[in-house]
Amino acid sequence: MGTGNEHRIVRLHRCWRPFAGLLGMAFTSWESRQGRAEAGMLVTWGAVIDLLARHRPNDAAVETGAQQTSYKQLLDLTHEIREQITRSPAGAGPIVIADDPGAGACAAIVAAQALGRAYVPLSASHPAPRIQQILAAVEPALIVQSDRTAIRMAEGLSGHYPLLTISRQLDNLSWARSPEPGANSPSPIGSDIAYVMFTSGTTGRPKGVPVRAKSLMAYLDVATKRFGVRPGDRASHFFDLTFDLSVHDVFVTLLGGGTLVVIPAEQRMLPARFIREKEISHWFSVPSAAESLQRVGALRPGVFPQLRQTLFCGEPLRWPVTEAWQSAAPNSRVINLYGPTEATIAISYYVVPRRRSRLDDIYGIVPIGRVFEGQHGRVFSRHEAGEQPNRGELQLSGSQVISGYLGAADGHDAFAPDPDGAVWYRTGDAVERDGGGLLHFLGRIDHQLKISGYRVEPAEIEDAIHRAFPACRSVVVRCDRGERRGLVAAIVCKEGDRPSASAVREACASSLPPYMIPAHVVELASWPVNANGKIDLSAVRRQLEENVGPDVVAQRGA
Amino acid sequence: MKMQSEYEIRGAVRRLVSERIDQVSLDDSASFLESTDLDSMGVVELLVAIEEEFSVSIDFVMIDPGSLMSVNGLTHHLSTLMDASNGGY
Repeated sequence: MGTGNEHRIVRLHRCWRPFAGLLGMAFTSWESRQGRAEAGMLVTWGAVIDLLARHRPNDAAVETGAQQTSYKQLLDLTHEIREQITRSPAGAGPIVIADDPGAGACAAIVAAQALGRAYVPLSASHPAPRIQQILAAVEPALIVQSDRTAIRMAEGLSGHYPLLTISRQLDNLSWARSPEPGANSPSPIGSDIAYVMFTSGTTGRPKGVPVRAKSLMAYLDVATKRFGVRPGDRASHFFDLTFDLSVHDVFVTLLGGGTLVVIPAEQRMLPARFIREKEISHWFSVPSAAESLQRVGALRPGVFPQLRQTLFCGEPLRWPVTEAWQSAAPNSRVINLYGPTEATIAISYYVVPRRRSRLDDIYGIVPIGRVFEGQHGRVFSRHEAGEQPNRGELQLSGSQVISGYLGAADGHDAFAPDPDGAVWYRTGDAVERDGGGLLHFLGRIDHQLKISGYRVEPAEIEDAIHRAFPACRSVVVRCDRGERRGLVAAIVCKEGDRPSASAVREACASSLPPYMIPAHVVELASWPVNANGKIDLSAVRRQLEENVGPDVVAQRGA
Repeated sequence: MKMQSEYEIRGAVRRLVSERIDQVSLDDSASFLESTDLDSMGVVELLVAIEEEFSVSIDFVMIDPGSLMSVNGLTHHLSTLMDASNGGY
């Protein structure tokens, strides 16, 4: 057994009691020594899948299109992956998972947990240089890929790391590149880490967020109790594996014995038919998916009668779309979750009431609610003149919060140590705490942007443009009004060296993931500046939103 | 609503698509998500623009959006929609 397995423990809550007999477990330890709040039974994560496979072998664990994988099949595949790894001379580092969401990826994730290894997800939609940067940063023991994604990812996965391929039918494992004894370099990722996610960084490189198994267990403890699923439930698998909300999809659903139903990429932003046809009972997505459905008129009253729980996370949730969702899904409770990747999936929640009260509505955004029990949040205000004491930056502390980034150069100012030894993570999110103690999201205090729930550091895109076109300077903003929406890059170039809009977008595509490629590239004659002589970002955004003229650079490129 | 031939519909769909992508040419059967730089939000923008251009309402509760992810798919669906709405007149 690998070290670190002792961390891979989950607590089964009271809601499991009805299934105690089914699982053949002695649930006597429900009555805990430490009182009701701690009641539950501690088991290893692998043991839950073992139990489900033994006692509900034919229940569907994962469904992708017409392909159904039972708990028994999932367990068998997990065992085979573990065997392949333990019998090989592959090193002790993390396991990279290069696959689309599905049963193969789930089995690889479960195998990593059972072996006490971290997993690091990669997406086939990311360009090869980014994949190579991530591989170099984590020094994996091996990469697990599927033959569905192998061709698309071949360039990114080239190199010397051992490569294990899962066949499309999940019936065969083979080494595309075999491990060599003693060939692996030591990894900076320890056995206490459950997974590493990479987010956009200001340094022009992706920033690694290592999440400890202890943090994941703390999250699952709350999530399985408050937002859990049970056998027979059908939960959506909306999120790509490189988005940390996918960790909720996989772990909460499989721990609960439910069926994880993978949504095809082309239905992701308009999922009405998927939810109905697949009889989804538990939906979890970014609010954008609901916004799109509302935009095309699909959130009609009562269209989702089978939905019983809806979670939204990743972006501010607006009241109008929430109310439209409530009427479309009359039998579903709706919960707004909030949390940066650094605080493990989500760390605050708000159960949306059937009727909106005036108190819960600040600027038309649904509250992010209260911080999970056992975790800590504070509203950090500098008490500057004119600043309200109940407003400020949300700072987080507790077992769900990471202790640092993977790269030594990243995030020195992201953590604020207190004199008493506690370390607070600075979220960069401005919040207001109302009289009832609920937290309300107000916006970012820095320049970070959110695109469909993905965090985007404009500096990383501006850096990519500058490297390709040294004669140009760019500013990337998010536009929400007018003709141009989404990510827009404004550029100012020296005379005679003007790239076309498509050349700028191509340059971005060669090193950045798709959600970081500007939808529009607009050339400005000069930068609007503020009183301090700095580029005035809101004036740039206003120009881009109000100026209905054509994209000058785009025309030139046509 | 003005009667439009499938040929005219296809031409208008191609135009609306090409306005939104960097690619110089696109096969009518190619998937927007796989073969162009449109992301899922870009596809939603395209579908809304198409509803406006043709003055139709696509029922996304019943329709699999996957069947509308190519010029062929869109043309086929719009032709059916417009046939149905012109029926009897």
